[in-house]
Amino acid sequence: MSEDQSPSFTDLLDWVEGRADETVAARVAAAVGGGDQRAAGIVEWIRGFHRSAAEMSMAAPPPLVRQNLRLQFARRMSGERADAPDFVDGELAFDSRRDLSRAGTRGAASDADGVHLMFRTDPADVLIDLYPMDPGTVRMDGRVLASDAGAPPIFEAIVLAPQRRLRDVDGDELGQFHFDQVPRDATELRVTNQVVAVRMPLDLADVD
Amino acid sequence: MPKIYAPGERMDAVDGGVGGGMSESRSHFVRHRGGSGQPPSDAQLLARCRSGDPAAWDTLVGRYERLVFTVALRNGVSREDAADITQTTFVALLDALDRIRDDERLPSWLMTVARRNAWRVRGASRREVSLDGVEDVAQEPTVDWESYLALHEALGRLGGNCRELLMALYFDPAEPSYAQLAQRFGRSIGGIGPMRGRCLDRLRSILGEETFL
Repeated sequence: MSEDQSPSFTDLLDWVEGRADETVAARVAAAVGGGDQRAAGIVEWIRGFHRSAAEMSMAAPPPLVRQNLRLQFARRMSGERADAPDFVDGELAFDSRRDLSRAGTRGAASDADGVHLMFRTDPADVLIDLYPMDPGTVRMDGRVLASDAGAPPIFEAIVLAPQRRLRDVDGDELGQFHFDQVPRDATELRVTNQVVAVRMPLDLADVD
Repeated sequence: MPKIYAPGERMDAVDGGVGGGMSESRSHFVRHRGGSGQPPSDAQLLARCRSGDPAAWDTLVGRYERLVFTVALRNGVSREDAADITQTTFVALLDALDRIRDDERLPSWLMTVARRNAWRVRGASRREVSLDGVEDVAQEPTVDWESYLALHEALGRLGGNCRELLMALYFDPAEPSYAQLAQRFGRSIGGIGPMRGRCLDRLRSILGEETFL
């Protein structure tokens, strides 16, 4: 078969990827099966490319990475030092175990509601919902609300326990973070980005 | 073996129109594309970074953050460590901005730094594990880094909308639809198929016809 009659690269690609219409598919199949070495070579190359691409599929990093790199660049260009911020201690402003029972508002449905905490600091408030998972762990859903609306909203969260350290780097642009299984003997929660850093004591023994 | 092209011998001048990156939002891209309507080259972005342009830095990070993160993951570290390595690698690029002269080899430079950082992290975690008396039986990940690098360098030489389209079609786990790509690239849905054919054919020219045989 002459080069003029040989299918185009795009026709061959459509055929390999199952996108060719019947007419094109028949013409390509005839060429590849009929000894068109150019067409057969391209088809083999395309299939090899597909195999390589499948092996090299790429994963996206957490959005925290991009946020931190934007800050790094801005600081570098302005000549500002890129030191990590000092931790400030969160003050417990609300604990549903204490405050709702004192107010007499814990009702029959509260068993499924878990425990809710709010910590206050000058740079940010931190809201935490805790739900019992099993005798040894609780689930933690948290959210950091920065006082400055222009502050970077994504945070990394770290839980410290006597024998373990858990990290969540998948915080989102709403300041939310999440841990599936926090050991009940965890003692401290830290939330941090390159501008705000807050640490809070944890008491998870009676989360139920 | 992949065909070696001379530095600067790019294939940018393919398929005009508005482009968009795999992780570069379209609106962002419209604002910061090159003067020819093509996405800016790595060399252009690095030059703009050196002059303090935050949008250029954001575009550059967006172009390669998945590559760096994936290289770290494939070197056997956790997702959290891979995120740290990605950040450390780009901070190293910031440190080296004024020293990097071979802009065409940026993917190679980033991959090398990311792999080195991953080895350090893995070495540190191995030492921690050995303190507990547990034997480390983790296997070295088997990745054909030479092919990985050759392919990404070829995509870099391809440049422009072609690179962005092929990355989106064949390397993005989100697998964007033709309709989404048409919107991103400012084309009709029917124009995406022929464009990807032309782009892949050009990639084949860069890589060499024998590459995947």
